[in-house]
Amino acid sequence: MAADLTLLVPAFRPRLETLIANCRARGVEMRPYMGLRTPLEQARLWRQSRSREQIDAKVAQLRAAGAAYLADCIVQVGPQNGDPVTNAVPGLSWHQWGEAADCFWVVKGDAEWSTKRLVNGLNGYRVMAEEAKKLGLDPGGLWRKFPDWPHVQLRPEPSPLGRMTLKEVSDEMQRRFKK
Amino acid sequence: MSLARRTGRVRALALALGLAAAAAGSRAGEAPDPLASLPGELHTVASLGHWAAGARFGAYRVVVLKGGVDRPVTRLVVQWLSDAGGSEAGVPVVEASRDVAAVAAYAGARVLPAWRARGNNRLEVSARIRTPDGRWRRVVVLATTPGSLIEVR
Repeated sequence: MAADLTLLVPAFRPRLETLIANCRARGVEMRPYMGLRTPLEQARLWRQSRSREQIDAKVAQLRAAGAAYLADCIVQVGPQNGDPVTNAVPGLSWHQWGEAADCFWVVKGDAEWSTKRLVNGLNGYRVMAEEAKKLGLDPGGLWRKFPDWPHVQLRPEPSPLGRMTLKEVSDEMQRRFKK
Repeated sequence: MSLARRTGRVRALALALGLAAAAAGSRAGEAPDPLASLPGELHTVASLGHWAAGARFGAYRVVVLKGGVDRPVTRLVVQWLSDAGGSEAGVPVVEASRDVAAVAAYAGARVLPAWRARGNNRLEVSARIRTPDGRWRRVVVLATTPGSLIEVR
């Protein structure tokens, strides 16, 4: 359960590594378990727990917006089962851009998911959020409405849609990932 | 057209415009329909149970919000609605509102909330929480008087 940080963009990777090091310097071990996630991987996660009607409607919406590649990713992965684990369709999570990572807190060799538990007076997720902010990153733990403690990303925008159209996102994803 | 007649028409027009403005103003002055501004993240609302504290009393309200940019995040909120000393219109007011911190305390989790009234001044709110490594946790809190949430488990 460890992410390959070499796949992250050069603007993000060294800052994430610095973040991990700064947490370690405070006695907190944060381990990245998700870095780059391809559009197909995102499509698999997005399809989990969604009905055929929801999937068909989203595919139609993406095609109508000119985002054919993103729609194809959702179709291509086929039926999936599991918990709801993402709200973002392929291309709209910063993980597809190599600009986000999820980390868990390691306590005595085990993953600790509590954002409240203190070890030596510190909680790993809260330390990570503080240190990320110092480095100019956007920690999900500090999001006001729906905090996402394991998450940290390069940019403050919630998704690429703030600066690109769906078609532009789709075209860029196709350029980067279609083989 | 005589000056008097023209003035009369102007007055009539002004009166009509004034009435229209007044009518629009009274509509605009009404409280907006709260349903028009409900956030899309609002998933479930349930009012139940009963609390009392001195002269104040009312019902509990549990609110479930589901959102999140990428990972789905659930917020579970307990509110204390007050019937006594509320608005003149007799609409209950929110006396206190608290996020169930025990739910928010688990990072990146799937949350299955539940609640039940357990007599006066006791509302039990619980949640099964699945952490990203697949393990399940259970948290239970007890809501009592306004603003008071006690973590039971």
